[in-house]
Formats: sequence, C-alpha cells, structure tokens
Amino acid sequence: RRQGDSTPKRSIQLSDIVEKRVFNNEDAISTPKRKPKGDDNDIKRSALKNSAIIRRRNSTTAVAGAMTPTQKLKMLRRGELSPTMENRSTTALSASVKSKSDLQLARERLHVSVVPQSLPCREKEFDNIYAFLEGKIQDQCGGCMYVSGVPGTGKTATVTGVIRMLQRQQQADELPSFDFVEINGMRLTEPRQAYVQIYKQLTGKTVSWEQAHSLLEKRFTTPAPRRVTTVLLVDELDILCNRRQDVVYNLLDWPTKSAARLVVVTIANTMDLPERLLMGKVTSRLGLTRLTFQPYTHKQLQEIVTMRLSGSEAFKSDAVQLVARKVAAVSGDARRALDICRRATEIAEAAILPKDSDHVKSTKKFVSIAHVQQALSEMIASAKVQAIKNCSCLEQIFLQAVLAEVTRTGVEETSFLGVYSQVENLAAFEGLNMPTTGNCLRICSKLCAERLLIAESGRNDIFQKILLNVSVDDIHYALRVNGI
Amino acid sequence: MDVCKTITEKFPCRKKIVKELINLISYDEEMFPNAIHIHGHTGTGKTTIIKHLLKESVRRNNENVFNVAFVNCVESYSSRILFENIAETLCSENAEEVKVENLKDFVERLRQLKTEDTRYIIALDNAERLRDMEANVLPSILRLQELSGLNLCVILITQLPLEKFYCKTSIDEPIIVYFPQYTKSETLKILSADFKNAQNLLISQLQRNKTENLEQKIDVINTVSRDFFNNYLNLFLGVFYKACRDLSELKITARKCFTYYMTPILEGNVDMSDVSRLWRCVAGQLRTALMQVYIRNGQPKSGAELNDKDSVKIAQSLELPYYGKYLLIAAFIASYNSSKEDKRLFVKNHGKRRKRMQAVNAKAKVAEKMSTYIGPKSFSVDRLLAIFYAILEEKVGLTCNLLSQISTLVNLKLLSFVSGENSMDGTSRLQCTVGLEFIVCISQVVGFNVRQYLCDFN
Repeated sequence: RRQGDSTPKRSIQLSDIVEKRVFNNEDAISTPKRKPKGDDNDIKRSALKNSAIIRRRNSTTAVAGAMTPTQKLKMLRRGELSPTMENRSTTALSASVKSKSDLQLARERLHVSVVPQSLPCREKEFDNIYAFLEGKIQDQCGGCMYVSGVPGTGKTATVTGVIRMLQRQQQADELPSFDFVEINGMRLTEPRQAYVQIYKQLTGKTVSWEQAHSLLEKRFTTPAPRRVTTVLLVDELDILCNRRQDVVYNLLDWPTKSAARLVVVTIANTMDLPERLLMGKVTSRLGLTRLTFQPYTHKQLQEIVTMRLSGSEAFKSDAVQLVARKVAAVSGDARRALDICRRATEIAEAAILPKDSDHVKSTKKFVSIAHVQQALSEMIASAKVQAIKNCSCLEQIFLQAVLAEVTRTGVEETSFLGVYSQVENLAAFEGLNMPTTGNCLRICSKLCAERLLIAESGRNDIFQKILLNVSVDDIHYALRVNGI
Repeated sequence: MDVCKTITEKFPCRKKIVKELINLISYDEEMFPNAIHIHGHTGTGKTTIIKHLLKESVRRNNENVFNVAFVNCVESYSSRILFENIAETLCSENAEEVKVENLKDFVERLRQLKTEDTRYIIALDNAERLRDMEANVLPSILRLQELSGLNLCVILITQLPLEKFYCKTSIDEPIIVYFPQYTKSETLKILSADFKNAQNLLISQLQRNKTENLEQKIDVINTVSRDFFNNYLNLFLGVFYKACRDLSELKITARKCFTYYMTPILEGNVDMSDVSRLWRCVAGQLRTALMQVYIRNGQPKSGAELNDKDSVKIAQSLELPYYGKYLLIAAFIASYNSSKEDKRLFVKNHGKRRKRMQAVNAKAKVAEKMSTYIGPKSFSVDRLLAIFYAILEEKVGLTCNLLSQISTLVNLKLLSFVSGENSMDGTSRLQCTVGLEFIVCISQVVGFNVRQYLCDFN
C-alpha cells in the first residue's frame, strides 16, 4: 500500500535489494549474510593480496593460493570464507525415495526436524505474530513481542514460519525490505556474545563483543536515511538474563530508539518471566504485546501427526490417538508425540524384519496399537524398578534395610549405623552370612553411584547420612514381585 | 624368584606380601592389573618395600622396558602438579617442557608414550590426598590403564582402607593388599637385625665422650653376643610394646636405651650374666624413655627433670607484662566460671544469700557438667575487663596499651577468638586456651591466689 508513495530513492534501493535476492536465488529462510560487495571478486582480490604478501615474505617457496592457518583464521573472522562440511563420497548416495518402504517414509516424515510448510493448530498464533510483524515493518518503527509456552508447542516454528512468509512477500515486492537476525541464548557461551552474533549476522564479520556492542549501538542510535527494518529473533531469552541484565536491557532498549527500526521477538518458556526474572526497566521495555502458546490438546496432537502422515497407510488411527492422548496428558509436547510415533515405527519394522521379508512384505506394514504401547512403555516407564529388580541379593537387602530404618524412625534421612543394624537383622532373618561393614559400605557406594540412594561421601563411613532416591512403593513393588 | 629373595632378605617377615606383589607386577609376559591399593598402619613398611621392589625391578629389567614414577601426593598438592610430576618421570626424554594442565592433557600425554612392551608403574604415596583433589582425579587414576591404553599399573599407598575412598560416582575396584602390623616376635626379629648398628653406636659414643679405660670398654662391647642383645630387646619390648608398635620409633628408642643398659656393665658394677640386676638398673630409664616416645629431642632427660610439668616451665619462661598476666588470669576465671557467680565472687556488697534448696542442688554438680571437663567457655571483652578490674586491687586507666595487650595475648595463642573476630562492637567472644597449672604458676608470680576465685576446681 505504502510502497507506491515512498520516495523514489527508497524504491530504487528496494529494487536493488530485491534484484540481488532474485539473483542469489535464496528462497529458503536466510539471514542476510551481507557479503562484501562483489564477494567473489573480493575473495579473489584478497587471496591475491595474501599470496602477494607471501611472495614478498619468502619469494622462493610460496605457492599462490596456499594459506597459512593464521590467514585462514583472518579470512574466517572477516567472513570471507564460509564454513562448509565435508561431503559424503558420491558412491554412497542416499537411498532413493522409491526403494523406501511405507514405514521408512512415515518415519522420515515424522522426524522433528522436518517442519511442515504450514503448522496445523497454530493458525491463530500465526496470524497474531504475522499481524504484529507486518504492522511493524510497514510502519517502519520498532517494537517488542514476548512469546512464551512450554517446550514443544511450536513457538520457534511458528515465528520462523511467519518470517519466511514475510520474506516471501518481500521478494514479491509487497512489503518493505527487512533484515532478519536470529540468536539463541543456548548457543551462546555468554550473554555478551549475543552482540557478536548479531553483528556477525548483519555484516558477516567476527569481532570482539565490546567492539560489536559499540558498532551495534552506533547503528541503532544514529539515524541513517536508508535504514532498513531489522527483525531480531531472540530464542531462549532467560539464558541471556545475567545479574546485571545489561544484554537484555540493550536488546530491548534499541527498539525504543526512533533511529533503530528494530523489531525484537523474544521467545522463552515461562509465561511470567518478565515479572519474575527481569528488572522493572527491562520489563517495561518488553511491553505488553505477549502471546502464550498453550500446550497441545490430544485432538491437536492427533491432527499434527495425521497431517504429517497424510497419504501414508503406516499408522492405524487408533494408534495415533493413543499416542496423542498419552502425551497430551503429560506435557502436550509435540516433539514427544512425534518421537514416540517414530519409535513405534521402528518397533513395528523390527517386528517384521526377523521373519522372511519377502513373504510379509505385502501383508502387514503398519503400526498397530501394540507397537505404540511398547514404545510408550519404553519411553515413559521407570528404569528404577528394573534396576532394583536386577540388584544383587545383598543390595536388595540393603535397600530393604534403608526402608525399614526409614519406617522405624519416621525420618527420611537415616544414618549408616542404623541401616547396618537393620541389615544385620534382615540377614539373620534370611539366614545369610552376616555382611561386614566394609562390604555394606561398598554396597552403599554402589547404590549411591546408581542413584538409588543418596549418600554422603564414604569418608565419614558409619556416620554418613543416607536418603532413599526411589519411592518406597517402587522398592516394595520391585522386591515383592521378585520374591514370589 | 630372585627379586623376592633379595627383598625378603632386606625386609624380613614380609615374604607373603612381597610374593603377592611380585605375582601382581613382576612377570613380563602378563599384563599389569589396573590398580593396586596398598594399605596398612604406619611403620609397616609399605613405602619402603614398594620402593625397593620397584627399584629392583627396574634394575633387573631395562629402564626403557620398565618405567616407574614414584610420587608423593603430599608434595603434589594439586592435580596439576601431580600430573606434571608423573609425566616428568615417565617421559624422561623431554623432561623440561612437560606442561600438563588437566586430566585430559595428562591422558593425552600418556597416549603419546605408546610403545610396544614398555611397562609403566605409577606409585602414589599418601594416596588419601587424592580424594581432596578434583572429583575426577581419583576415579580416572584408578582406570588409567584403560584410558591411556598402556600396560600401566597405579599403586596407591595409604593408611586408609578402600572404604574411605568411595565417592559419589563410584570407583573401579583396585586389588587390595593389606600390610598387617608386625607381631611381637616379628618385631623382635627385625630389631635384632639392628645389633651391629647398636654396637657401633655405643662405641662411637664412648669415643666421643673420651671416657677412661676406653680400650677395655670397647673390648667388653665387642664381647656382647647376639643372644645378650636379644635378651635386652625382650626386656625392652616388655615395656614398650604395649605403648608403641611403630617399628622405626622402636628402633630409635631401642638403640638409645641400649647405652643405659650397658653403662653398669661398662663401669664394672654388674656382671653381664646377672639379668635381674641389670633390669633393676635400667627399668627406671626405660620408663622415662617410654614417656618420651615420639618426642625426639636429642638426649633423653633424667627422671627428675621430667617430673616438672612442661606447662609450668613455659609459664615461668614466659615474660608477660604485669597487667598482661592479670588479664590472662581474668580470662581464665571468665572462661571457667559461669557468669552467674560473678556477682558473688567480685562484688563487695552483694547482699546476703539465702540458702535455697535449688542452690544446693545446683552446687552438687555432676562431674561431667563441670567446666573442668567440658573445657573453657567463651566470654565477652566487657566481662574480661570487669573481672580484670575486680581482681586488680589498684585502679588503672583503660588505656589503649591495656586493650592492645588483649590482642597481644590473642596473637600469642594464650587467648583465642571464638566468634566475631573482626568486629569492634563488643559482640566478639574470646576463650582462654591455657591450663590450670599454667595459670596457677602465673598467679604465684604476681602473688594472687587464683584458686579462691574458681568454683569448679579443687
């Protein structure tokens, strides 16, 4: 709408950028690694320069193009070399789609990393964020938004989806251009490294955090006529909160500057993070534009899984429903649901494989409710009961003795001395040889290493305090089942 | 079994253990065990035997084939120094630039050592100190063979059993070798091997003192037989074995006391065969020496000297200023009297006390509750000064000299702070750290009867 009446200068600049984008043919979501203009030439030039330097240094042995590690590091820091991965040799090509079975395809689609084009069950949130971001970009002003929700509710996926949509619109010339910068608190060694990351994504250069901070400060505080809106996504905001909260303050203070044109979208888990953790001035800058992602209900989870599996016959619908209901009852975490489904496909495949694959190939190739049950019990069941069941006889007696001592005294924390007297009783009752104190200490330390008990270090041997780390019922259950 | 023979000759009564150790570490064709934990009391020969055994093994093999690092963990108080010390001895070629920051570097260093059939032994003396280093040191030292991929064995030498080494994240169980204490007959056997040394010591002592009839006496000494010496050791152990089984301590004292045993013989008073008279002569000396076991201060003192209490001597030799002495006495009274008694003891007109049943009961204290048994109580500086002014007959001004003497007493460790060391607001509490005899001695010097102010003593 407003593009028509923007100044000719701006439109020229915009078209220039659009052209560049089209030329670079980047349709995937990308941060503007603004390479130095005419990057290819530049690299060549700098390589030439480097080789010239080398030649100057030792004119006889230098090989043009060869770089010392220091030169490589310098180029990396300037962003002239992009980090790449080694490619797999062409002989081991990944299997083509046709040779894959139905279950394999389903498993591929169910992988958490495969984010679908449109996220089901998050349309409202999508609209919300889209409206906010589009408005800010159109208005050429800055702002903040706080997105919260428990893990696995599609916060980051939705926000990046919105960004992708906006970038597509920008390419289609329906929207003023903007830069997108993304940082994740968990990927930083220190909150201050955020400056370095932001500056690197804006220019491609790696500098120290002080330098990056002052450069960013200059960029966002001094007005420039051709400033483009910058959208900054801050994932895991709570990690950036240190005691001084200077990083969070700066990130949220820059949007308030008129020259900045910075839109900050922050993502974290806790709903009341601003009130609980952040200082008053930071909370006040964060603003009131908030969005909470509710955990998925079982219907939504079912929809998510079925949408991923659309067209495939690998899953029975009641199997999906079971997964959805189980997961929704615990956390409403979409990742967990997808993982359980994937595990179920693996189990189903393993159930088929041992038989002759030729015969069964056509008959059953779907995940039934039994497979899902097994996957669920694997992922949810407690390992502690199994551990207690597989303990040695004396270890079981020791656990029983701790239990007996806890019930006798009524206090949760017992000392080794009391437990040992109980062990003596139990051993006499079972008709076993009396274990020595040293043996019992060894048993205690072993159980402690397995975290079935919590005990102090072995140094204050018979006076060490012992706590049960398993529930009393677990021990009862594990040992009584074993006893029969 | 040659190694076994040489070692057992040097260290009698340890044949079984030496054989066990040799079985573990001395056969070329076998891999070493992961780790060996050696524990036993002081003076049971853990360190010496291991040292000799390893030295002998190195001597027999080549140093390139059998590499030993013997490190004391008290010297290497941090893990970095420990690793560097071990690496220095194991990588003998480039010993100067050994730089090991942490466990990872250390393991990497060991991995680089990898050569065919070289065998490494790391012996760590005082290994109980390993527990106080970083949490990863002890568990990974115990599985160093696995981590480094070398034919390597770690020997921990310590006084503590393995139970004291268990940590929260469990350790790999090493092989345990226990060094038991020597029995009385074993001790006798080992001490009697010291016969020649005792003889030489005696002769050199006589020569040094330039006694008359030197030649004659040396002749007498040279006629002393091993049986005679063993008889003496029997007497000696009869007195000492109850109190002390530490071999090195016994050895030193036995040599010392042998001179007393020989004096009556050398002077010609007693015949060498008259054991009972010899015993009568030496019994007093032995008892005196028993009082002084573990205190090695040159020549043993005579009995009369010893009866003097040490604390009294210190008190007499301690030159405190006059007010300083009174301050110390006041501190002692404040420490050992309850503050309830202060009014009765120090205020002139405290009014008449009615005798009540309660008071009588309170007076009949149980011995365990008396401050003579439970030690000094803490007091504030105000109370100390109040008692000081009460027991000092003259009036002195409260000058800074007086107050600085309190801190001097604290510096001399005659008083100590219990709490509030740095606060000047009067909340800090002090404690008196000297005993009754010391105070009585000091109060005698200034002519003050401290006993009449003490409730719980006498």
